[in-house]
Amino acid sequence: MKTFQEMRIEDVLKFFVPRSSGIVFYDSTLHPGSILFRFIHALISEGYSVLILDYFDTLALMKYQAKILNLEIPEKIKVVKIGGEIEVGDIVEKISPSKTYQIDLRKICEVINRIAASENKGVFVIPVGIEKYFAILDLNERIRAALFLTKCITLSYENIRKVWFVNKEVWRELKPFVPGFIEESMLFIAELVGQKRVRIRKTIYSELREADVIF
Amino acid sequence: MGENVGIIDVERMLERMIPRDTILIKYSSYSHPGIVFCSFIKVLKEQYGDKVGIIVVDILDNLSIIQYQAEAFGINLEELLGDEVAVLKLGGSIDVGNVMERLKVSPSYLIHREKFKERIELLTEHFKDKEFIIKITFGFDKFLMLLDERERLLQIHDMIRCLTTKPSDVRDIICINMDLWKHLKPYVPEYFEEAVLFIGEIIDPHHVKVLKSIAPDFKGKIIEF
Repeated sequence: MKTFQEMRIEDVLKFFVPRSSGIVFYDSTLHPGSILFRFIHALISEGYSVLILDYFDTLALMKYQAKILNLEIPEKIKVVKIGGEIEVGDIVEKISPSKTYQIDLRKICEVINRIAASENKGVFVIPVGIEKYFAILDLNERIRAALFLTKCITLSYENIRKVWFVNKEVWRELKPFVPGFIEESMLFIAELVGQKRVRIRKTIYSELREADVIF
Repeated sequence: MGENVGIIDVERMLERMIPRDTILIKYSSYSHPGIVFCSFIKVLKEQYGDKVGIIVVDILDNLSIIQYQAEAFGINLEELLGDEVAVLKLGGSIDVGNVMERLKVSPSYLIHREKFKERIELLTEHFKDKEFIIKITFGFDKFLMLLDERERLLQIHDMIRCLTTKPSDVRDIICINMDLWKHLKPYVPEYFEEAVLFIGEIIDPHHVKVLKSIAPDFKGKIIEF
């Protein structure tokens, strides 16, 4: 059986260089809430600031899972809410989704840039549920939204790092084009393989290739 | 990599490149083509210096993804490209390198076909004193995904006509993401791959596997960058 090198999340954080980006995939049989909140704790302990983009109440779902697993939920994390109605964390902005993605995405980028500009330390921007947002768009709008987001990924502020948490099963339904295009622009891709374990599938660092990150 | 797989260095591959060559380089969303691209430009400049003119066709800001990857590896792409590499921008808004010509992308390719030809001719003229020109295209797959099936086929037909009837020694390298490319079926991948002389696939940041080549001794080999 193939064995995977194990690394603690605290030891992996140094590989998140400024402006880096990545996706953490999970499937519907797993509980991403435990990994998300462990990740947030690790980031806060290391002195980073966290901004969650909560699409359609996905953060509430993550919190529900994390609470059942007895994880501590930080109250002060900044959250931009896009759609949905369950408020978790410190809501800094609420944006109603529109089918005209241009308005939504530009607004979200403006908020991210405003918050990043006001922070002296590194900011981790973590969207949760963005795949559900893509799902409400038609194919042409999706492709254009993907083009816009790719631009945001490659051109972000120096102190921003982005980690998307994405349901792989919904994501695959966004074919053709969207998954392949967004994944191309990300520097790393990882996948949940257990309650406290994430396996790295794409990375620029040879020492992290096919490694398991333990939370 | 298996022990029996033959390794060819990129310098040898460049020596074997033929006039008016057409090369397709495939990569997956899980690879970093930016690193291979940077190594290729570096070797090309070292080996041929002033003898080669380099044109990069950047469709829909694809070159900014390449720059983003290069930067994460600690490579300054702007510096590497310098002023001597000419960039033709098709659509998009992020300028990388020396953008000498630009054109807006329209979903109706028929409108931009002539304008595109005109821009390429201008850049080819710019490099008329060079022995040959290397033209590297990024984002062709993304442009095709914006078109409907009929328009895609017309675009491919047109592109193949241009590639196979080049009047001067322009060596084309078209880089595509195969995770997008496969969704352009039916016809586009098969038709295009039939027309190109060489197909390579990026297997890691420093190696490309040869899938198709007119040189029988190259097929199946790994090119090391």
